[in-house]
Amino acid sequence: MNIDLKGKIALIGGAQGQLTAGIREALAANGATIFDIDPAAQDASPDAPDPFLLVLVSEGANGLPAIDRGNSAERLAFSNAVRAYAGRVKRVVMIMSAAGLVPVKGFSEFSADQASLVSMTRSLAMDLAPATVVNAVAVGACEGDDGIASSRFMKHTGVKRAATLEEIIAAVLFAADPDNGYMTGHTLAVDGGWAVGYARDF
Amino acid sequence: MRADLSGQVIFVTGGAGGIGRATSHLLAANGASVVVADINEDGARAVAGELPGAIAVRMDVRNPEDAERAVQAAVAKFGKIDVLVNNAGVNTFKDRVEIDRFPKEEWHRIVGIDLDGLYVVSQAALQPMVAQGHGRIINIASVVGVTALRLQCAFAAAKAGIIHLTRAMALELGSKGILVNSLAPGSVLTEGTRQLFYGEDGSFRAQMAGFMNHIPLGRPAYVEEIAEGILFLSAPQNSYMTGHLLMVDGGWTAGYMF
Ligand SMILES: NC(=O)c1ccc[n+]([C@@H]2O[C@H](COP(=O)([O-])OP(=O)(O)OC[C@H]3O[C@@H](n4cnc5c(N)ncnc54)[C@H](O)[C@@H]3O)[C@@H](O)[C@H]2O)c1
Repeated sequence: MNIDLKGKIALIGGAQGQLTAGIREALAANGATIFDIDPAAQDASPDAPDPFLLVLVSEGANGLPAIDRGNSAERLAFSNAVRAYAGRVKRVVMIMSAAGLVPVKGFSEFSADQASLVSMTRSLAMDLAPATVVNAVAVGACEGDDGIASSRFMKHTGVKRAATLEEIIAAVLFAADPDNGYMTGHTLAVDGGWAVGYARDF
Repeated sequence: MRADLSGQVIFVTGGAGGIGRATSHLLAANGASVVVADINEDGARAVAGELPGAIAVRMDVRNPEDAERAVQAAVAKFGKIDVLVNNAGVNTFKDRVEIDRFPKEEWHRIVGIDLDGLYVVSQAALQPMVAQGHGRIINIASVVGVTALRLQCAFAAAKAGIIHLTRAMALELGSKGILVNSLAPGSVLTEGTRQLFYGEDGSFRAQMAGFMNHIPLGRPAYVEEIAEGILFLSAPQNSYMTGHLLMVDGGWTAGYMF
């Protein structure tokens, strides 16, 4: 699967990890010129050329934390970073945990925090339309996540396995796709059916 | 987006219509062999004639024998079905009235095609898919199945039914290697909606201006933009998404614009 990002600038910031590295690589392979940004220090320079794409990766995309916690500083930074590029960027993609779609028992702070990014995606989509579309990707169990994330998610995952990085990246590419211009405010669930309902016969 | 669909057989119901034709074109352009299935046989033939390697089949999605015959024709020609796109659907244009006056025949016609028909065709196509151990089903719902609108109760119920049926199918079929997703288009420019809502130049009739104010992108979708979502749901790399409702609605369901 490829998208045409030749000659386009992509900014990426937020949490680091295997997923962020994979996204960076995939965007470059599809032709984008990539710049890393710090979402907490965003005041878009008026002289820099307009980016086509802004990708913000939440810490939640790296799996459930060892101890329940939210991250309101991250949310504020993301919101400021998106607003700094309003009217200049064409595609915004936020990446988070599928705990933002269905909360995880024992992780109230984390679940609420991730759900807030889903809501923020919808709200920013309204604010930035029609110049910019804003979408999100919510990640369920992913290969390379250790123990807790995978086992919690896997119990109700219809396809009974964790995602590969490539499968998550496919959704990020679709959200960044220049041909995909009518989707906005949407959160793509790459979760093997986890948010859908009971995948077992009790 | 480009996806490598070479060697894939994709069966599109309602393939003669606006979204169905655009979808058939985009999937074929990405290498798929397309089965264009429609109750409108001439229309299906015309679309298949535009595409290399495509075939047309006449079928009424309400009729289980039609569905079986169409699936058998596809398997006889191509040996399998990799993706079923349940796209055939109708809404009411003349009877836009409240439910207390909504004609019973209209209710049964709409639910019969949009929801019952989707079950009938899925069941037929699942026979080869389950035997193959892989497959995908993409169900075309509507924004009206997510957020209720007035004066189209049968369509609202049928489309909401499709979205939840998609989830139930995903949970039942995941362990058989079959992914099931739905896609909700917002308002789309097709011949039908053009006559009803839009002027020749794409401008809106007076009553539509207020309606467009609720859509953040401020315009209807082009059929190609809906086809792009169907291409993504068909793409081999997108293999961990199931039970999902893909909204391609210009932000309509993101929230209230005022
Ligand atoms: N156009 C829109 O604004 C819009 C919005 C939301 C959802 N949708 C949905 O998208 C799908 C395609 O719609 P479209 O706009 O391309 O409509 P369309 O009328 O252009 O095409 C529908 C096709 O379905 C076929 N069909 C109707 N009844 C059938 C039956 N019993 N058996 C087999 N085929 C049958 C028709 O012959 C036609 O070719 C539908 O499910 C529709 O509800 C459309």
